[in-house]
Parts: sequence; C-alpha cells; structure tokens
Amino acid sequence: MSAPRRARRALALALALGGAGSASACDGADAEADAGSTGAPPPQVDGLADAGADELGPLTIDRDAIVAYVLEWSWEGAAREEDAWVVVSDLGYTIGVEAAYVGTALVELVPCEDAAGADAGAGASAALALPEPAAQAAHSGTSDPSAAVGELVEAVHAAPSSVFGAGLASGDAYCGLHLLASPLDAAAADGARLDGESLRLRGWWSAPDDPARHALDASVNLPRGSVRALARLGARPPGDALAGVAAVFTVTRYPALAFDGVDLAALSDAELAYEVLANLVQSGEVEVAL
Amino acid sequence: MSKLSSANLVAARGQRARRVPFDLCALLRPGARAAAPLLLGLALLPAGCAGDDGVGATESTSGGATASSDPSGAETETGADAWTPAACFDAWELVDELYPDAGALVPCTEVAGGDRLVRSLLVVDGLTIDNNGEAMEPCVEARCDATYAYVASNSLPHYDFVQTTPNALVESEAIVRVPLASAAIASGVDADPVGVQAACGDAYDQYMLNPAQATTREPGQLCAFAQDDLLYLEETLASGESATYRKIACLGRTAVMTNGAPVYGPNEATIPDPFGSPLFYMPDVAGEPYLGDDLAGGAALDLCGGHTAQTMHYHGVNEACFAQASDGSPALSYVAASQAWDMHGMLAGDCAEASGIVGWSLDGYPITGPCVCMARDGDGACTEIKRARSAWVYDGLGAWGDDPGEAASLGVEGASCVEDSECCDGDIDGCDFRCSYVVRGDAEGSEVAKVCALLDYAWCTHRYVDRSIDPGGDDFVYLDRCNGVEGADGYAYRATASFPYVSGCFRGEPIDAEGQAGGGGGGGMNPPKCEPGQMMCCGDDVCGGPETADNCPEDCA
Repeated sequence: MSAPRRARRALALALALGGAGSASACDGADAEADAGSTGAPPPQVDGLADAGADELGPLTIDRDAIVAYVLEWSWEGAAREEDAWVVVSDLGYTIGVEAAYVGTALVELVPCEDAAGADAGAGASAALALPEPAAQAAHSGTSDPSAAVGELVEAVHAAPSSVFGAGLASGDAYCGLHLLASPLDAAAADGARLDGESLRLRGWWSAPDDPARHALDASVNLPRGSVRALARLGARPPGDALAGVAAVFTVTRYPALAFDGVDLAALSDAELAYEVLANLVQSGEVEVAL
Repeated sequence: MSKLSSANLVAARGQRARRVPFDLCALLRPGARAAAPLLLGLALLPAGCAGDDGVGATESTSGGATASSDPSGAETETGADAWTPAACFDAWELVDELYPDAGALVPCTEVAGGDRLVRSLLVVDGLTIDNNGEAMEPCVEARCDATYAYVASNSLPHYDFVQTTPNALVESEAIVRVPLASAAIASGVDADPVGVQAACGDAYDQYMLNPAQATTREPGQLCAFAQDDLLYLEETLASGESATYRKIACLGRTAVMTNGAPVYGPNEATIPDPFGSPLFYMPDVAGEPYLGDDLAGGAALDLCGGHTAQTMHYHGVNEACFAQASDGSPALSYVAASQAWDMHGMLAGDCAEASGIVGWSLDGYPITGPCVCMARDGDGACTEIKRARSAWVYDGLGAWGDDPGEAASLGVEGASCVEDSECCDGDIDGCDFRCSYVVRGDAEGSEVAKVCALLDYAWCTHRYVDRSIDPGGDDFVYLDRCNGVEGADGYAYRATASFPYVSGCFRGEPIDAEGQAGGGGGGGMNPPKCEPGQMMCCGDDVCGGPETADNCPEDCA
C-alpha cells in the first residue's frame, strides 16, 4: 500500500527542492528512480479546449505524467503605504495588512465529473454547460494521484511564489483544482510560525465613515478549502526546477479581495479570520502551463 | 425511496450566514459574566455555555429542542414565544407521490409526538451559507400526519461549507418519513445472530494477504450491504432479554440531523481504507493539521462531523454545532461550535447539562448528544446526568485470526500511543494506523484511551460488549448495541465520539430505511475510483473484487 504513496511524496519533495526530473511514468517502487531520469519523451497533453474567457475545458494529461503546483499571491488592487498593504473592501472598510500568514496542506486536481464516471447526484451539474469537477468516493482524504500534501506557510504580505509540490496525473480529464488551507504548526520562510493556525493577520482597519484605526490581530485554527476552475493557459515559470513537469498549475490568490463582505466591526477576531481565509482560498485563479 | 431527483440551486442573496461572536458564552448568557477561559468553556459546550438561560437544544420532558434547560424543566417564556416553525420547503405536494399512504399534512405542533420533533429542528429560514463562493440557503421543515413526521430539507448544512475534499456540496431536496411513535420490531423475523461478525475473519485474511485490497463486501455483516443480506440481528443478552434489531445500511441514510442533512453509518466505502471509520482521521481538537503526512488519507469531516459525497451527510456529531438559540436558530457559528471538537472531552468530559436532540433516527427515536439525563424529580428537574459511553470497544482486526505473520502487520494495533508516528514506525505516509481515541476494555470494564487504531474495517475492529447488567460507572452509562439508552425522557440514541458514533442498529422498525446495497437508496456514496492495478467489476462499487453471479450477473450469466 505504501510504495506508490511514498513515490508520490518523494516526487513532491524533489520538486519542492527544485530537483524535478522529467519522467512521465512513475509506478510503484520504480517511481523514485524514474523521477530522477532524463530524456523521457514529452508527456502527452490533450483534451484541452477553450471553454470561454474565464475557464478552460477539460484537461487530460498522460497517466503518471508529473504535475506540479505553484502558489502565488497578487496584491493587485491594493496600495502599498508605509509598512502595510492597504485595501478598501466592498463594504467600505479600509484595511492595512502589515503581515499575513496562510497555511496550506493540500493541492490536487479534480477530475471532471464525466471523466470520473461519478454519479451526477441530484442533477445539478447536468444543467451546466461544462463538466463539473467530480466528487470522489474516497473522501477520507484524497484518492487522486495528482494530490500533493505539505505544510507550507506563506507570508502573504511578501507575495512569495512557492512550489508547493507535485503529483501524478491520473489520465482522466481534469476540470478543477482543490486547494486546502489547514491549521499548521510550521514556519514561513521569514521564520514566523503558525501555531495550530491556518491564518494569522496583523495590521489595522477603519470603518467606512470613521478614520479611526483599530488594531487587526486575528487568527483562526480551522481548515478551509475551495475547488477552483482551471482558468487559463499561461507561461511556464522561469528556471529549470520544473523542466520535466508535464503541466504546472499556478494558483494566484488576491488578498485585495479578502475583506470583501467581511463586516469587521461585527465579527470576533476568529470569525473575521475565517471569513478572510475563505475569501483568500476562493480568490484563487488557476493558470495552466504545459 | 424518498430522495427527490430535482434540485434547483437557490439564488444567491448576497448575505452572509448568521454569525455569532466568538465569545459565545458571553453572547448566550444574559448579564454576561466575564468570559471563562475560552477553550474550557467551549470544550464543555453546549453543556458549559447553554445551561443558564434556556439557550440550547436540551432534551426535556416536553421533548422540544427549545425547551428550557432550567432546573425546573419548565419551558422558558422566551423559548416558547420566540420559536416559529420553519416554512421554507416549497414542494410538499410531492409527499403524495412519494408516500401515497400519507394522511393530510398538518403542522406537527398539532399532532401528538410531532411537537417534540418539529421543535427540535433547527430553524434555518433566512440563513445563507457559503458554498465555494456561492450563496445557498439551507432549508429544513417538518409536517405531520397522524402517524408520521415528514422532514423535508435540501440537505445543506446550516454553516458555510468546509471543502475538505474535492467533493462538492450539492443541494438535494429530500423528504424523510419518521414515525411519531417508534414501532417494535416484529418477532419471528429472519435474523442473523450477532455472531455473524465472525465473518470478519475474511477481512483479517484479506488484510494479511494485501492490506491495500478491500474485501468484496463489508465483512462485519452487522450492517446491511448486499441485497440478499438478512436485515435483522438477534441476540440474547446477559440480562436474559431476547433482542432483535434492524441493521442499518452500510452505506446509506440512517437518520436525519436537525439541520435536515442525513446521517450515515460509521464506515466509509472501500477507498482508501476498506470500510474504515472516517473519525480515526480526525484531529483530536480543533487547530490540529487537517492533513497529516499522508497523501492518501486525511481528515475529511468538518468539525461538526459531516462531509459530502455530493450531498452532505454526517458520520459523527459535535453537538455544539446543533445547539439552538431560543428561537430555534443555530446558537453558534461554525467557528464557535467547532472549538468544542475535543475527542477526549466528548468521550470522557464531565456533563454539566443534558444534551439536546441533534437528530432523528428513521425508526422514530431521537438522537441526542452524549450527556444523558437519567432521572428527574417531581418538578421535572434533571437530578442525575451521565455521559453516554458506547459498549463497543476497540478490539482490532487482529482479534479475528492468528496468522504467523500478524505481528509484523498488526502488531502495533491497540498499543497505547500519543502521536500517529508511534503507530507507523515513524512514517505516516501510507500507514494504516492512526493514534486515535477509542473505548477499550472487556467484560470487566472499559476506559477511554488513545491507541493505534487500524483505519480499515470499522465494524470488524470493534466488538460489542454486552453491558445489559452493567449500568456503567458513577459518571457514565453504557449504551446498548444500537448506541442508545433509556433516559429520564425515554429511549434515544446517543451521539458518541467512539464507534458507532451515532447508531449501530435500529432498535425500532425504521419506516424509511434505505436499501442494503452500497450506495443504496439514493443517499449512498459515489462509486469508488479504483487505484492503479484495480478494476471495479460491473460497477459494483468494489475495486478489484472478484466477479460473481451476485455482483456481476451480466458477466456471469
């Protein structure tokens, strides 16, 4: 039971360390050796169709080809003032984010419902033009080989770009990407630690009609996930670290949207942080580089 | 089958779900006292916070979820006046189609037995929850005829969806019929002896042969799995009583929560851990990582005990999530209620107040939280409260065989532990064990302990110990095989944090029980996605299983 899982983990670790190979087939106990090989034929990627301005169609990648995940942040829509990123929410709050840390534990691809043959359930998806990301029976965790797990703490205010990990394509068509923020006991690159938290925020806020600043010091210890559509094709990240990877999925999240709908004056610190965390994971846009 | 096939997504209304500030004790208690240490207060919820002012869904002689927890047992005026039954379901005409024998439906408050049920339901009218960025409106409502309550819902939780897996949350309208008076199981039904569990030897053999390969069916046979399974169990208890139970479905609805979502049994399907308990993956307390160092497994329930396989369903219960304000609305936000997720506290903590009703079994008995009012005085005040303790002990799969190589595979099973790594030789990835809280023991007694628990075959790793002549300890009461006990307010199933978590069988005859087959009754799981090297034969939901005339008649004819 453990060999394929260990193989996938080894791949993920190798990629996270910038040591990705280019093998397209990794099966069982041979995977670790395969992962380090070079010269393999380029993996086949097909089934990709432009489904509209904001969403790609189903994406099929050769079974056992390596897929990798890059997590990024964009402060588009925010202004840098002194030592904080300043945003104005849709409710009129002004928020200055001096520091924010997010813990991420899982990224995986979500098969299209049709590809996985899953029960369409109540038929909600049948009304949609595009295949829905499919449910999985193995919902104690994940069963898709594309899954990468880890303990990544990102310093959001520094807008890092991080290789989260890698997995193997199943050969099924994919329609989405599942991102799970989780409480972690781990440190960010700058040394700051999350202590059983999934999000920690520090800064200030002011109400729409009151310039008085209130301290923002909030955290939450709960997970929050989201399935994001595969939004667009993009360029591969620079450098050689992901050279042998069949497809790179870059998830860009937009902190400037994180406070939309959040009534800061009415919420406890934990409630506030939970809402912001939800907005952060749900702001994720997935770009695919082949 | 009661599940409806159409589900219209509710238009987003753009408002957020009801929020309760984190310091819920302060919120819930008029004349709030200084906030107690937060975690302590939350660990005791709802008992610790709901006890002073009638807030919370407390079981009482009146049976209403909004009944007072006041020692007098009398309903508070605010509770009685503030409550308004839900009115959110707009397809009641389908009752005639689904249940042609249904009588005229009236408000349940007008029917004997119906008042208790309808008042126990959460009033979620007007709530909006977030589902992956989409606003949705949960709905649960009940109407009654003279014999049954009809609980209609759209199977949505009353809190924002926690997408721990890729499984989507899908609105699914359903009407579930619950008898207002539980009916005893008829005598003379064809029933398996409880010794049928000895078939767990198959699971043992399969595990020793290949741990990654599931048996072709749920091997414990104490839940109904295949179409030709007997539906009943019988045993003679130490007390001398002959007992007959109806099996719950291995993969299907057993009950309905007070938020309208279904309850499933204590096991998952075949992957990743064959017929294993989803609870063993869960963190001990809120704030622990949700995915350990394991690619193929992780916590998938939210901290109320539910998750999705298309529709929302619950395998366990954090009763704080179902606590009610005086108007029947959820008393606590998810953020607040989830802090009461404390496995040890839920198994062995003190009970300051009797638990409220959190759901209704399909046989008509209520499901409460784990704190049981055992006696009331003449004024209705509860004079004795005990924590419910499951009579199922963790015994492990190793109890079912004696393979010479067992020690290498199952040697760690049942060993005391603190961390998962102790059960996994330091490498949790791919490990079949988790360091989890269980009840362990024998005929002499039991204890709550943290042990290396096998993730597979929940029905086989647990063994029922007949406690019919052993009432329990000073502070806890043993439950019967079905996970219920007679309390001061009658029989009820008691949601526990150990197997079988909600119910292990039906004490009464369920009216609307789902079919035996995996995924049966429309409320079941999605077909498993087989791992490399495995095939699902004939769509029978079993990966790698042999094709037989039973599961693949089309191929074997």
